[in-house]
Amino acid sequence: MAELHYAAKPRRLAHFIHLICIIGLTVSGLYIRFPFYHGGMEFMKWTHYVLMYIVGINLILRIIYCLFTVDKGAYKDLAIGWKDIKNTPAVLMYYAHMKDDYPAVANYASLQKVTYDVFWVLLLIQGFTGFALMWRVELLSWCAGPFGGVAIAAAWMRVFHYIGMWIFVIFTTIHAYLSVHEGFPIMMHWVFWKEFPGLKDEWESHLKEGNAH
Amino acid sequence: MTLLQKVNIWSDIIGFSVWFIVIGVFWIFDFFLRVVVTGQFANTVLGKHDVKIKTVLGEYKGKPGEKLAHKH
Repeated sequence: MAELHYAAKPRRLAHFIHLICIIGLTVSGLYIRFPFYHGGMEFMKWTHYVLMYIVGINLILRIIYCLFTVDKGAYKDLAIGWKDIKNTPAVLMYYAHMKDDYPAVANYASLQKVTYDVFWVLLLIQGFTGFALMWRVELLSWCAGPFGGVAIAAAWMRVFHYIGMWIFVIFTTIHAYLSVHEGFPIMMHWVFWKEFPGLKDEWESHLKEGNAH
Repeated sequence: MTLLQKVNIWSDIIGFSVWFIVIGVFWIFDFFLRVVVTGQFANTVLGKHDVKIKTVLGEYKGKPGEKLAHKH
């Protein structure tokens, strides 16, 4: 194995594009909510729109890659089963310094799976609530009644979009922290495309055990 | 104040508060514990790999089979 195959290049590229988009969307979104300097609204709104399309296309391509290409089967890593639920207290104890060994039962820990699932589900919700602000009549007419009209429904969508952003930001902050302290070389590999010999050995042993995608 | 305005303001307050708490608990308190107190970051994370990292607390270098290697 000449090349480190821990994460295929399309997966790393999609992750990197997603990372850049989320940072840009958060900064521009926060500016739209709290204009923290004068005269940047037009630029920030355009940045938000452009990144919104990029992150959306990136998600679609990532799902296609996950379901229909060489990476198919990797989505099973995100499925949460009974063994994950049973393992969660041990994972929490490990993170809380109450347990020395990491209780691995699958490629991803149970809370890791929850986080990754939250990311893609939330991205779809953010997509809908975001587009609903642009195309109010087209997207909100069917559900505007209980809100009291399309305009008020759109105002609620803006609040839901904002709450969704906070969930994204908080989960991403935790995800980034755990990736640094729990898998620093893997984080360097995913974000900065660095390749460490130790990682390659680990990956090869995973392959031999037959539990890696 | 309407319900929409209340939710809007509370999402500001709760969002920023939880975010700051998460940064404080994870990125500051827990990272300090793992780097300085328990040495877990250097031993179990960097120690397994030939990885260098520079932090405000010093330079860490991990080599396979070695325990804590912390240079100030």
